[in-house]
Amino acid sequence: MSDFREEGDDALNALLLPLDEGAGPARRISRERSARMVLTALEAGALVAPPAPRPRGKRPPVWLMAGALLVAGAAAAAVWSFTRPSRASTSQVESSAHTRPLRLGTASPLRGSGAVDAAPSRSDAVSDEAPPEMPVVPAASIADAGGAADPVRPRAPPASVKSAAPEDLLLKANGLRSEGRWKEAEALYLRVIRAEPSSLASYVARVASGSLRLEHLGDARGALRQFKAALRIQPRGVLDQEAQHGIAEAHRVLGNRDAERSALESFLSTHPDSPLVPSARARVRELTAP
Amino acid sequence: MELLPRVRNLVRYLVRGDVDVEDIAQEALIALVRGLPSYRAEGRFQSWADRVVARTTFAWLKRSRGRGAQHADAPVELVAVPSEDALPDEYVHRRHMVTLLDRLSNEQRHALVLHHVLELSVPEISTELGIPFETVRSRLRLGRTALRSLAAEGDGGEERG
Repeated sequence: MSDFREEGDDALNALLLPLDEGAGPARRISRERSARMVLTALEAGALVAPPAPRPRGKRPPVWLMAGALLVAGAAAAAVWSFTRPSRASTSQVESSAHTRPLRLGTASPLRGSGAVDAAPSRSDAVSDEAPPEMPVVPAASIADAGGAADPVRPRAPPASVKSAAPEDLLLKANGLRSEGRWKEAEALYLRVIRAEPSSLASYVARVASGSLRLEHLGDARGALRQFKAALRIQPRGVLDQEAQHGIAEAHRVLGNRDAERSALESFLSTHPDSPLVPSARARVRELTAP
Repeated sequence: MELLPRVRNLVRYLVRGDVDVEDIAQEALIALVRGLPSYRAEGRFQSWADRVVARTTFAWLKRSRGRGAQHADAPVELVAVPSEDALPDEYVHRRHMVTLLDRLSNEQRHALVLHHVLELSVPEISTELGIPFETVRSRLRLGRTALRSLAAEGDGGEERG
């Protein structure tokens, strides 16, 4: 702040008052909604919690991605719950704080989420359009459209979650993920995707699945499909940063240097303020070096 | 929680219409929480927070530029949710002012808000917006003239009415 004042300021000072915590000009909102916004921000703040120990130097940090997925997953589940207040749930997780209605951080995830923007291309399609009633879906069914065998073969989830609603599945999957039960988590993410393919929860689940495949399941190609599908569902969505960076990472693992560079450049232009920018820039330099 | 009204108010000062305020405010809150470790207690916390919110808002506006100004004609609803701790006169006055700001260009609006609402100096605004000092002064001058004119127009209308 400064005492520096311009000529003509006085006349406007009566009109434009210094900012305070008083009422207006923003519209009034309920205390509950305020609380939800703050809660969401605090949960998102957990993203910058100290990352789990991992080997240095191999890849750019992915802890941000993992944290974002956990938080956004919980938030998406909560949003889903909020939009379906009358639905009864039998899951224990529904009683957790995460199931309170939350609001996600950007406009784009919720707007325009009614439909997938474009049908997946043949090479990128994830064949996850199975009927929602299918209780357990083996990962083999999401093998790429080209028919390649998918290395991800998650076990069936526990019977207790077979009849759970998608938002419960998302929370459950996040829990399994945090326990290191990658394949079980992956199976649940896929069930969420199948239940409502173009929903916000599905979007979150796709990014989460992509991250799991890339980080823990050794399936970079599958990860690439999931990240791309997520971007199609919600371009510039709340996890855009993670999805775009994930695409670059997947290309890196697959050895597609040109595609990786292109993905990184796209990431840098879209998210110039991301904490991943320094590592992304360094990698672009590496890739462009003669 | 205490900071939220300030965050939402600043966002509303900076963006046209009410439609995007909550989304941007949510993004700004997240930016604040994430940025807390980088806050060095050299200045007022609120000043730091205000700048984070302003930058988040500008970044959001930049991203949304391609989507066009679809919210300019959003209906104005003065009392959306009753609140027992709101001062009606003050609230109505601020709502009125912001509808006048909605009729300015973004450039003039941002300069005015940063200067009058956040009380930043011209050099500070110049740094914040990454534009020349003289450009800031010009935007302030034009913005003041336009805002005064709009305010007078409204007063005249009320008097005539």
